[in-house]
Amino acid sequence: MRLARPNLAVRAPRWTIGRREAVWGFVFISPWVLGFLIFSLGPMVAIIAWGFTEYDILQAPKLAGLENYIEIFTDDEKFLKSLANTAIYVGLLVPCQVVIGFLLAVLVNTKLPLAALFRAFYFLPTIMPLVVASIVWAWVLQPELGLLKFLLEDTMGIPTPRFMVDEYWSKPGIVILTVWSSIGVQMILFLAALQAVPPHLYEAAEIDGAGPLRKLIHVTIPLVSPTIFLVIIIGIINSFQVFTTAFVLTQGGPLDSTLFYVLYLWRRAFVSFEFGYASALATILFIIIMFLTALSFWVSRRLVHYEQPDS
Amino acid sequence: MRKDSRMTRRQLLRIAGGVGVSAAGIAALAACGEAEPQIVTKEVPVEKIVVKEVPVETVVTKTEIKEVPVQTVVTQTEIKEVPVERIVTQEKVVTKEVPVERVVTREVVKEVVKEVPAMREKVKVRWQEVWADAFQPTIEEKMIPGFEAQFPYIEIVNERIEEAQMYEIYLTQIAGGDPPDVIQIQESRVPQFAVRGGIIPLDAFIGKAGLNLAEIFYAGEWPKGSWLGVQYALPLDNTGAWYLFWWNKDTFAEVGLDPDTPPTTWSELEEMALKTTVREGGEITRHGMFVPEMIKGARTDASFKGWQFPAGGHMFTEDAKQVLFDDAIGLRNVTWQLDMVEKLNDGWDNIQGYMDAVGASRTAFYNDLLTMRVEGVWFLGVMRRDAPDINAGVTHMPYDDTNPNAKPRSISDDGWSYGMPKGAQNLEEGWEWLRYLTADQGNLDFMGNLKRPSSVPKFNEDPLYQTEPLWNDLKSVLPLVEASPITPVNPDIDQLLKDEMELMMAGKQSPEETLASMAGQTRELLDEFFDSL
Repeated sequence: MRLARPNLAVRAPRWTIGRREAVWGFVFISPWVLGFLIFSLGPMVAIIAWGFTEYDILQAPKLAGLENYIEIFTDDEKFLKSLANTAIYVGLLVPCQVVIGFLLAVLVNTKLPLAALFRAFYFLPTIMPLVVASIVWAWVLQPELGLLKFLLEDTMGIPTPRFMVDEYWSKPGIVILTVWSSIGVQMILFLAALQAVPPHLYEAAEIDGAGPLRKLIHVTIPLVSPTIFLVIIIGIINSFQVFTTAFVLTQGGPLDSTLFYVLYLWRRAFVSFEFGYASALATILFIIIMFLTALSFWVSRRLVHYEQPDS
Repeated sequence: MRKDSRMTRRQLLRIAGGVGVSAAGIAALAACGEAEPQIVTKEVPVEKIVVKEVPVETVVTKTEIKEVPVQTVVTQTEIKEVPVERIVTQEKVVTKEVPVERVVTREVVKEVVKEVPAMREKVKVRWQEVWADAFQPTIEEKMIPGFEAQFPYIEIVNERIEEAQMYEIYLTQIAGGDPPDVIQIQESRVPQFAVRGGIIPLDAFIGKAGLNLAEIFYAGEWPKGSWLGVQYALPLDNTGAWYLFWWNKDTFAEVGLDPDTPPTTWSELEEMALKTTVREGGEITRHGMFVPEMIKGARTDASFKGWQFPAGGHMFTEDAKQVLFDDAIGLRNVTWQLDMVEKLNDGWDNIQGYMDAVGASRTAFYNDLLTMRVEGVWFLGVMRRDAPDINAGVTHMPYDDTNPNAKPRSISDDGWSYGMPKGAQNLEEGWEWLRYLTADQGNLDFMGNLKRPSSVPKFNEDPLYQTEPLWNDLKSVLPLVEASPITPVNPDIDQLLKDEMELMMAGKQSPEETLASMAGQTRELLDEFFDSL
């Protein structure tokens, strides 16, 4: 009698560990991916499409081809004005955020008593709503009845700039307010970077005879350069979208000097009901920010130092 | 073999069980079904305004006239005439007109209301409004309960939204197919929504309810909620008096002016402003008046519109298609404003610091740094809150006495109203609430609480207001307000008027250039819009 031959072929497992982990990984990130697709990518695609239409949101969009873009580039003075205002604002704000944020981080990184209190103190304005901060600063900088005028001009005889009402001082006024209200975030980012600098590098520099300034230039700044780059990128992206402060404080004035790009875009969308035109403006802003971000990445290859892990 | 036809015990139990289950099911279904509500009427005390009018006095006089006609009597022998006495009474009705006094009192009266049992599901009306938190108690404790007592089958869901984002929210909801039933909307935006079908016409509801808007509201108020003769919104407040003239009586007395006699003409305004201005060391320490200052100071657009009517001019034709301000009156308006800034304030630089978004000119007025100013009806409540002790007066805008056709009058082209957005689900119920908010008790409850004039004249007689010493002065200005046509591109026109006036004040262009630019851009906007229809 012949015995049945047992099936010795071992069936390969269907899911390798790596594949199984990858699947679970996708499952775990799926809420974010879905959220991104539905709430970010979807609207972005819609906005790009609406840029080629005449659309007022209450009625169906009508195809308009390149009309919106032609009008923007050939017959819209406010487009250029608002873009220039925004570029000047970004040029003033981002360096201030980097320099002041870094210096504050260096200060609160010292091992002095009450350093933790100062960290909290500098971070406090960040948690204040921007609308509230704007109104408070409007009264501080008010050129006739404000606190600054009282302290400097009325008490000490020092003339104060006419923030918010003079076309040349309105942007610096908004920069001051924005730095005050946002500097806590930059400070925390720099603080984390400073605390990640290995102490032995400072010790080595000291042995080589480096003073505080040389340590700062040759050790600290190169090692925190990825954070500096991050702060610049975030600063450019955020400040190109400035809206709230100008909306609350100046409504674009005086003489359109604070008519920033997004404020102008908002007016075209929600005041004039020109959503197609506003979508075209938004697409242009998207391209500008993408270009500047790409440019920053290109520049960063030469200037940013990334520490290589030992392994 | 005979078949046993008797029912077994098991069969009996099955049938009984089946019948029982069926009966229970039917009962359950019946219980779940919508029962016809039993409407109970009962009397509840309701606090309401009672307007009593003395009726027309009728006098009836009776006059008796004796007539003695001759009656002819025919007998067998003779024909003779016999006098017969007959009394004819003539009634002569004489109507005697007696002056009627309207007495408005607040009384608690018993009103019969229909009460629907709770088993009927209520209709929820979603209502979106932008009034600040301070007014919520009035809404929640008075207005909504008052309405729901009258309409027990309607439940009002109050959804307060931020004013700065209101149109973003409305548009998104309408586009998303989930709008509320009733929305608060500025009248300056009504045509903009109307031409795009974003707001529902109210004419059918108004007709069904038999409302005569001209009888209910001020003449300067209700037309602002319409476009091309169709009513889309009903007014809430009397913001028509957007341009009122306020002066500090104490300062007037201090410089020897009669504190109760404000300027009524542009000449008087200039004279009094110069008299109340104080200069120390070459600097002005107290201004008489900021002529281009309107509303919160930042709205130089409103300064052109605001002075255009007292100058004797207009903004647009009735159909809102043509510009009317591009004339000698418009030029006089802009030239005079620029001239006044030079004469009264030594130039724009000295006052633009007050033209900000936080209301620095109000603070200046409270602190005797500014004697006269222009702001709307709401300033009364704001002033009482911020500076309750200030001794101020209120009157109409001074008019241009160089124009024989000019007179005291104000333009009205904005204000708050209520409408129903496209896609609203509960139109009938929403309409009842809208009507209550604008033409009924809800309007008085709300506006009275704010101490701001209502769009309904009779409500402004309410005792709620009578404690305010300036009330009668303010009320007397309201009939001088004239509705100005609102165009569907109104927000864009406002913006360009503001920009151009600001350029002129800053010395970047002449009054002639300013007027030409304002008129040209406005025409372009209007033509472009009407051509696109």
